Amino acid sequence: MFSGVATMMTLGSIFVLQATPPTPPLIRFDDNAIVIPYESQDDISKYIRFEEAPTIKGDLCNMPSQSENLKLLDSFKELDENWNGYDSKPLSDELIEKMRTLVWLLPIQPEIFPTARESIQFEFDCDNGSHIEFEMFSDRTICVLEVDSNRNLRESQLTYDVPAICEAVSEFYARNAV
Amino acid sequence: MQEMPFERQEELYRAVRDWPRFYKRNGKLSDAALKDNRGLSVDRQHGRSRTECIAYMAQKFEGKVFMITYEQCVSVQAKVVCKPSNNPYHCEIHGDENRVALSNQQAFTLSEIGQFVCNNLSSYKT
Repeated sequence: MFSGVATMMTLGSIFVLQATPPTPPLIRFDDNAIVIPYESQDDISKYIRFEEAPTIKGDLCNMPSQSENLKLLDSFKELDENWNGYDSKPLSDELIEKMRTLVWLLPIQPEIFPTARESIQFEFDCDNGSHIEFEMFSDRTICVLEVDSNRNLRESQLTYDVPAICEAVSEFYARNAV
Repeated sequence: MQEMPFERQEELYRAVRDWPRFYKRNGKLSDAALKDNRGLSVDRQHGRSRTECIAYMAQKFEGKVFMITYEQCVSVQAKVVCKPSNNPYHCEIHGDENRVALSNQQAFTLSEIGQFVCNNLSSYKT
């Protein structure tokens, strides 16, 4: 039995009941997944815009995972006085927490290192030899060093700002795309 | 001990703990390990053999030994300053005459051109 909207047409003296099939929902949620029924896929594609990801030159599989970086940052809390053997000071918990937030939000995971300047450094590398590092201090200052594939070095400064850092990282990988 | 002027090829040694958090995944030393507000402390060679220098460092430090030459420091416009203490070979590499800390460019370049000359200081301990 049809369960759609029925329309009634007159053909001479004969009444014909013409049923239209039910309209499926455009999307439905099923077991925490978004399901787009086959019938809706043409319609729904009008409303979806896929951004093109930059092609990244470099073996990102070799980069640490987010969970590895979060664990690593936690381990920085255990760095006591003289952690490098040259009378270095511990890193502030506040800075470590700030870096944890950044790790959550970065589009690509960095390699992370402590310094004896009471700062934490995030490094990103590409196979073509280009490199960018962000040395972040408790006072929100960030010293940036970028090395291009011709080994030209350029230093700059930023104030701690998560979107600006994320953008700088994305631009770095876009510049070094294949 | 009488302080001698630096020779161009004189080696300067920095101990680096053998913790993964100081090394990049490709095995290179991160320049972060060479960043210190008080200048980069090193031991100068001062006429000794490399083995003697490493054995001397092994009494105080653990891990690996990273080596850069005096000439390499000059090539990045860094200033090497003698700072003898209870360690007569102690020196500091400064950014320049007026700035103690190395700049990021200097630290990066030195991390690229230096090399490890010992992978395990404890094997030199007497």
